Amino acid sequence: MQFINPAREQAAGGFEQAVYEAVVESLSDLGEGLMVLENRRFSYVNQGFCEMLGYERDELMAWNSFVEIFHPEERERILANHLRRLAGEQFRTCYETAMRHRDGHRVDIDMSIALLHFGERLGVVGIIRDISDRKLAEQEIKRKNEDLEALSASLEDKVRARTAELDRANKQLVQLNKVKSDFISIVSHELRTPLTAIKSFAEILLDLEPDEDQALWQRYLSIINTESDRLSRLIGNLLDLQKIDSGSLAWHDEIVDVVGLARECVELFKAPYREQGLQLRLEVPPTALTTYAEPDRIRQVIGNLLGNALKFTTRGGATLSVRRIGGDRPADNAGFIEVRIQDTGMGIAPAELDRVFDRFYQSDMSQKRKIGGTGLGLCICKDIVEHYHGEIRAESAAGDGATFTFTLPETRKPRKRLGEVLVDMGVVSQEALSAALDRQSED
Amino acid sequence: MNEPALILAADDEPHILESLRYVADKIGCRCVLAEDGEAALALARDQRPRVAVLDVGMPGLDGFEVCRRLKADAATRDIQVVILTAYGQARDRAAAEAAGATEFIVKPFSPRALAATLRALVTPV
Repeated sequence: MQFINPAREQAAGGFEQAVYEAVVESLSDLGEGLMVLENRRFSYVNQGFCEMLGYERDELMAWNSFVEIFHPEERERILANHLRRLAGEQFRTCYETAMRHRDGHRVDIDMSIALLHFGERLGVVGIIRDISDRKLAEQEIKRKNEDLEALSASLEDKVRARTAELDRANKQLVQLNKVKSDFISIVSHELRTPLTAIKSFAEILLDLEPDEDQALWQRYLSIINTESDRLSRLIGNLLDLQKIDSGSLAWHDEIVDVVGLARECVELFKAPYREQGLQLRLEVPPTALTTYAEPDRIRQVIGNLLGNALKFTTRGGATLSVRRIGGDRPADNAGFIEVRIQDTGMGIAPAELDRVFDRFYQSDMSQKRKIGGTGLGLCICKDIVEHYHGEIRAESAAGDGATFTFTLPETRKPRKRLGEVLVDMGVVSQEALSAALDRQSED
Repeated sequence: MNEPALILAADDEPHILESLRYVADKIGCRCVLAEDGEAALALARDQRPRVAVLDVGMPGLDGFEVCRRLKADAATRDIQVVILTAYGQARDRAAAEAAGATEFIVKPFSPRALAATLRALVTPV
C-alpha cells in the first residue's frame, strides 16, 4: 500500500499493514475499487479503482478535488454528503451513485463509505463496485415492462374499440330489426287497404238484390277492379324491391340508347297527358346516347317519373329531356347521360324533398288530393339508377313544379371488328371467318 | 216515429268511405262522411252523430286522436266510437281501448258484420 505521504506510512504497523495490503489486493481482484480521501483529495486509490475509471493512479492523486471523479449529475449530492459526514453527521453509508470514466461515459456504482479518524486527521474510505451491467439489466427490465404496459394498453384499446364496434353492430341490428318490423307492419297495412275495398264490395255485391240498378253493379265491380289493379301493382313493386335488395333481380343489360327509350316513353304517356289537358314535351339531342343497362328498367324509371309528374300536375305539363353531361372519363372518353323530368305541378315542400325516395313515403299533398300510389315507385327508381352507378335527385320550389333528374354512365358502342362487318355485309360467311381466325391463332 | 240515427264515417280512402256509406244506408241510418281527422272532429261537434266510425291512418289527426278529443269533450263524449284500422296488432286494439273506443274492427272488414255492430250501437236499449 503506497501512501503518498511518507509521514503517514509510519503510522501503519507491520502486521496490520500486511493485512490491509492483502485486503486491498483482493478488492482489486474482485474488480472493486477503493479510494481514501483526505481534505477532498485522493490520498489513495487501488488498482481496481483506476481500472474501473480509466485513470492512472498518479493522475488521480494530483487532483485538487475528488468530486470531479463523480458523474456531473451526482457531484452536488456527493459533495454535500461528504461535508455532512465530515461534520459528524451520521447517515446512510451505502448508496448507488455514478462516476465518470476518463473517456466520459457514465459508470454506475454501488458505494460504501466509512469515516476514518486517525488522531487529528480525518479521512473517508470508499469502496465502489461497478454496477453498470446490473443497471443495464434493470433498464432492460424497465424497458420491457414499459413495452408490456404499452402492449397491455394497446390491447385494452383494441378490446375497447372492438367492444364499441360490437356495440355499434348490435345497435344496427336492433335498428335493422325495427326497420324490418316497421316495414312488415306498413306492408300489411298497405296490402289490407285495397283488399278492404275489394272484400267490402264483393260482399255488398253478393247481397245486392237481383233487380238492383245496373249502374250500381257496374260501379261496385269497377271499384273491385281498380283496387285489384292497385293491389297487383303494390305486390309487383314489393317484389321488385325485394329482388333488388336481395340482389336476386336478373339484370338483362345491353347497350341501349336512352334517347330512343325517352321517345318510347313519351309516346306511351302522350294520351294520358292529353286526356288531362296537359302537354308533354321531349327535348333530346339528334344522336343516340348509349348506356349499358336493361331497357325495361330504364323505361320503368322514366315511366314512373312521367307518371308522377302527371299525377301532381293540373295545368301546364311536363318536359322530358336527355343530354350528355360531365367531364369525360379518362378510361373510355365517355361522360354521363342526364335524364330530366320537369313538371309545372304543385311541387314538393322542402321538408319532403329528402324523403321522397324513402319506402312508402307518400307526400301529404298526395294524401290530401287522394292521389293513389304505392309509396314505392321512387324508391325503386333510386335503386335502379344506383345499381347502374348513376344518381337521382329531386328539386322543387314548392308550388312551382318539381324536377327529377337522374344520370347514367355513358357507354359507347364497341366498334365492330372488320371481320364481323364483312360477315354482316355477306362478303364472307361466319364459318369462313372463324376458320380464318383459327388458322391465324395456330400460326 | 224516431228520426233515423246519424252515423259519421271517416276514412281517407274514398272507396272504403263509399262502402261505409252503403252499410249505413243498409241499416236505415243517415250518414255524414269525412276524409280526414280534422273534418271528422268538426262534423262530430257540429252534427252530434250517434256513432263515429273512424279510420286510424288518416292524414293530420289520426282516428285515435279524434276519438280521444271526442271523449275529452262533454258535448261529444256520448258519441260511440268504432275504430277501423288496417293495423291489426294487439297494441292497436289496446290503443283504441285507451282512447275510449267502443269497438275495434280490423280491415278488411265484412260489411254484414259491420252492419250488425252498427245496428246494435244505434238501437236504444
